[in-house]
Amino acid sequence: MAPLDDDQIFTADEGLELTQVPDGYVIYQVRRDRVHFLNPSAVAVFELCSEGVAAPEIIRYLQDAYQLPAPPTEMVRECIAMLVTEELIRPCSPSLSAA
Amino acid sequence: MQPLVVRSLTRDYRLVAEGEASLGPLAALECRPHLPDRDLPLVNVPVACESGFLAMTLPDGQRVKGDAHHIIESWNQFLNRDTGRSHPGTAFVPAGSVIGDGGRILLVTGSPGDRSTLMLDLLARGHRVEGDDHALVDWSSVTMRPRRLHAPADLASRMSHGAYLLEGAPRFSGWHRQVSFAVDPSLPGQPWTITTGPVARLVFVEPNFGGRSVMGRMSPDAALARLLALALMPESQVPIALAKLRGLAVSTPAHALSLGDLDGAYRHLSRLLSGDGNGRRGPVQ
Repeated sequence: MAPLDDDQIFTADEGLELTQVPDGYVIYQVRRDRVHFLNPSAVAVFELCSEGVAAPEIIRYLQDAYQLPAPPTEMVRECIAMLVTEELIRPCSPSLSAA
Repeated sequence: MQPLVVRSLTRDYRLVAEGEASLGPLAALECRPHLPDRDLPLVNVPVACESGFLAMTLPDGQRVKGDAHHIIESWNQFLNRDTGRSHPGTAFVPAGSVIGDGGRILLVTGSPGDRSTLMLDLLARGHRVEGDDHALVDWSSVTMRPRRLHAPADLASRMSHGAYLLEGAPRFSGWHRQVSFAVDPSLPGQPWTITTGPVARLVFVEPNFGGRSVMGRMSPDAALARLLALALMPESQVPIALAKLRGLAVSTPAHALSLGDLDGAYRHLSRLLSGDGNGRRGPVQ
């Protein structure tokens, strides 16, 4: 994946079924007949990406939510890259997201 | 002659006698639990008599002809196929389900004889038994596949308090021509009902021939390993079926019951049925 621009936003793949389980979430990707297990922080990244939130805001959100001493920049960027690789989210333009 | 009602989770099958055919030898198939909130289409299946044998075309088109044993086996195999096709993404766990004040308890084992003995014992003691066949797993919730309980002809010698269950129950013969009875798990004033709902406890049953019954806790990982070993997978959407099995294992307290004496097993299970904590304490496997 190319380096992530700060203003890059994403949209969730279509046909995803989310189910909460005691240790996180299961996402069933109907199109690929694949199942993904996400821990709670990965789910937060996924959901924020799905809502069109860009990486810097996600990093700030997680730092506040988990009261981290430093911004989880690398973790969030790696997580986003993995979500893109697995085709759970895909980059989109801000105008497309607003529509 | 009245048709035989054989209710599945998706269809209300009615076996209808044609000509000289008699449905009496197939009576063990009859299965009419109350399934709330399910609107089941009616499907008539004619049963004929050909050259002294029973003959029918199964709803999926397969033609079968033979004695009652062959027809019953063929019908049960059809139901397996039918359930597998109609529930993609759902695993089937061999289990019996009983509901008490503490919620639904799923008795899971690959040994149908042991499971049926336990289920018949619970039914004879007045507990609400939902089924004794396969549980369709949908995360932490299950639906029992409808089927009557199978009881051996010598049930009275194993549990005298359960002898009455055979009264009026239709009989059928197994592969070795052993006679069994098909028991409707209705209770007085409480019709047989199957609902979809959460599982309060998983109990994995292993035989302990001639010994005492002992029960201990199991870890979620051990429970998942057992479920994976025993479950039947659907024809399609296997990954989500596996995820649902894992969901059941990690969200439901699990116990291992070493099944020896029946009274001892009942003491353990009755504590779970009443909602009494964790049952007998034991090491987490």
